[in-house]
Parts: sequence; structure tokens; C-alpha cells
Amino acid sequence: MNDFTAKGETKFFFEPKTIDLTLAMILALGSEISALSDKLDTVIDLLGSKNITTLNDVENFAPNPEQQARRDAARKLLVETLLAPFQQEADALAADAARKNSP
Amino acid sequence: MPQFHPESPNVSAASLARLRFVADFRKQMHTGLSKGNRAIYDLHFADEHASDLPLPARREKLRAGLEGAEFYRGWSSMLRASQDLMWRLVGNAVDADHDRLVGRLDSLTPSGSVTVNPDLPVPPYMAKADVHRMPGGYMKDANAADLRAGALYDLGGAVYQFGVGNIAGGLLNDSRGRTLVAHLATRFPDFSPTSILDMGCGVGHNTVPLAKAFPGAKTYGIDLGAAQLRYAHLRAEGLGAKIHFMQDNAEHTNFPAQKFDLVVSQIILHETSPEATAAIIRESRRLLRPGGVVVHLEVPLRAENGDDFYNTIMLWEEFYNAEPNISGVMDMNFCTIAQEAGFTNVKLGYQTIPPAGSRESAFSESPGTKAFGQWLVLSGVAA
Repeated sequence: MNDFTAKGETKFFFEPKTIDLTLAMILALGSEISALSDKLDTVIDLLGSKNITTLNDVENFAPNPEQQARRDAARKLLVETLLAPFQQEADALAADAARKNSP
Repeated sequence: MPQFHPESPNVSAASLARLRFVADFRKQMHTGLSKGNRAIYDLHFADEHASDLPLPARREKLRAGLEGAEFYRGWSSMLRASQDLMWRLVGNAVDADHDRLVGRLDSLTPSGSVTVNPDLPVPPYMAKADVHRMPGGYMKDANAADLRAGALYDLGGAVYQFGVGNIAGGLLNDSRGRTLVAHLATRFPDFSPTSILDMGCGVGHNTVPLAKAFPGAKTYGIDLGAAQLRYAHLRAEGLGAKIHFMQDNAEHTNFPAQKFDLVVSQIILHETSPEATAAIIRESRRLLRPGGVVVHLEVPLRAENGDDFYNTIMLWEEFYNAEPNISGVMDMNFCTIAQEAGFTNVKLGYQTIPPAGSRESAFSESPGTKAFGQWLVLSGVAA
């Protein structure tokens, strides 16, 4: 992986500096979502130009129960993945508490 | 998003996808992750908390202790961020559909009515904070056609129900009204009111089931927010419920004494203040004919229902979500206040949420066991 570190002092504005890093992560996530959105829009426009489907079709698409269940499962997995670092903290705390409470 | 009642806001597929994400995120926070907070309590505070301090002092001490734990701070930060994001997304969806909703209201041939009072003073507890951090709060009213606060509250309430079953009544958000009807059937099976007042009705989530349960009665709903009431009117007409909505303050309404034979409120007291709560209970007595019935339904957040951790974490909304008086109100001695206001046959207990379509559920004066499977009810008869 390329090194993107700049020479010189890096100023962190917050204590702990994790806050600065988290803000940077959110910004990066925003740029990825913007790119994804553009790409999807391109696909819709290309499909439209070939008379396959239109933006209106996409907006008004109602998934059937099977399709909706697939989306729900994917979204649940995304949420769990995003929260996994915090989940590990919660699991470790709960294990400690269980050890303390067991005779 | 499918209509969740005939006049609900239209929500685009993209908005719905975002809102579903927020709802799932919040669900995971409350299920998978929340055990971390309980563990912090068990590890560091449970032993020393068996102290002689009174409950409010113990809660305050534990809150400070929890805030010293990094996990709790991170969890709270994310939960608050998800609340704010939800309102932003709901706001975008409502703003995109507001003109259409105004057109729907204009085109009504109503059976009920809505009457607003732009000069109604803002009570101190409403001026302090926007409850639930809903931007603009309950009382924001931009103009005589504004529906925004009502639509925000309705759609936000529906998002709260995504994927959590029937706790608050599904997307219609009407479990309080249905539980109240079941409570009346339990305690006063022969009672059939002819005039009903719902104090602090909001968008009428729980006025509608009441009006439908007693079709022979004339039903009124009052609230502080004009935009809430206009939206409530549109929503109720769509659901086929004849209700008269009026902008008024439940502490001292403009109705004459003894106008009603059933007066209720549904989870509004804890969003007011201890002083306002006492005034509302007194006002409900003034408005009832002798022999009339009062029911004030509330969240089941009473100290008797759990240990210090439960009683503290349940106040998360008080600490960080602009509901500053939850414990101040929920710790009150409701029965004494009701008796002093002139009610007899007063009972305070827990009514289980009935199945959809049923008026039958259990009522118990013993402490509740399921925090959100039942509602707290205070009921009595006007002497």
C-alpha cells in the first residue's frame, strides 16, 4: 500500500486523537458512497438508453418478500459488521462480569 | 415505502433504505451491544450501590460512574448520533412530500374538525428543549397550513417500530390507545362514555382507537402543537375516525367543567414537569362529571420494576434525549395526587398490551416484569 503520510507535524485537534481519526474515516466513507451513487446512476442511465429500465422503474420497484428478506439479511450483516468492534468490547465486558458473578 | 395509513407521507425507496439502516443500527445497539453497559455496572458499581442513599442520588452517582466508562460513552455517542440522523432523514422525506400532504388536507370533506389557537402560550417545559431532539419540537408552526411537526412525529414513530414487532402497535403506533380500551374493559366493563377527551393527543395515534372503540361518543383531542393537530386531523379522517382536535393546554383547558365522562392522557405526563403533571390530573377532575372515569397511561418506568442499573439506564432519554423530567414525574406518588384531586376508587398498575383486535388483557397492581410489554395506568372515578 502506498504511504500517504505527509512529512512534518500532524496536528490533532481532539483528545483523544481517535476523534480526529474517526472524522477522517467518515469523510472517506462519504467519498465512497458518492462514487457508488454515481456508478449506480450510470448503470440506470445506460439501461435507460437501451430501453431496458428507467429511473422511475428503479424508484418504484417493490421487492417481493424473498427479495426483501435478502436485503434485510444483508443490511443486518452490514450493521453487525460496522458495530463489530464495539460488539467485541461488549462481549468482553459481559464475560468479565459473568466471571465475577459466578461463585 | 407502502402507506402505513391512508394519509401517511410518501417515502422514496432511497429514503426508506436509509431509515431501515438507522432502525437496524439502533436495534443492534439495544440488543447486541447493551450488555456491555450492564457488565460495567456488575463489574464496578453493583457492590457499592447497595447503599443507603435515596434512589435519585444513587441514580445520579451511577450515571456519573457510567460516564466514566469508555464503552458507555461510545455507545451513548452512537445512539445519540443515530437519533439525530433519523430526524434528518425523516425531515428530508417529509419536506419532499409536504406540499402533497397540504393538498390532501385542503381536499378533505371531514367528519371531524381541527381548531388552532396561535396565541396559546408555550409552557416552560416545552420552551426548554425539543423533546426526543425532534427538530423544532412539538410546537413549531410555520404557517396556517403547516403539517411538518405532525408528519415528522408520525414518520419518526413509525421508524421506531421497524423490526421491533408490535411493542408500540406497529406502524400505526396505537398500542397505548388499545391498552387503554382494554383497561376500561377490565376495570369498568359496563362503562360506555358519551363524551371523551384525550389530553396531549399529538397526531392522534391513540385517540383513533379510543374513538373507534366508542363510536357513539363525541371524541375530542387537545394538544399544544398546531401542526401536530392539523396532521392529526388529516390522519384521523383517513382512518375513518371522527375526532375534534383543538389546540389547548391540558393544565388548564378552555372547556367548561364537567363536560366529559371519560378523560385520558397517554404518555404525555413524563414529557411535561411534576408541577404540570399535578395540574393536568387536577384539570382532568374538573372536566369530569361525577361518576366519570379518568385514565392516565404512562411509560412503565417505575423504580419498583428493576435494580439501580435498570432505573438508571432507563433514564438515558432523560440524560441525553431532551426529556429532562422523566424521573421527576415518574417518581411521583400518582395515587395520592389523584385522591387529593377528588378521585375515588383510584388504582395504579400495569395493563398488558392486548392482541390486535382484542379488548382483553391482564391488569396487575404488582410491579411489571416486561418493560415494554405493558403500560402503567392510573385510573379512578370522579367523586
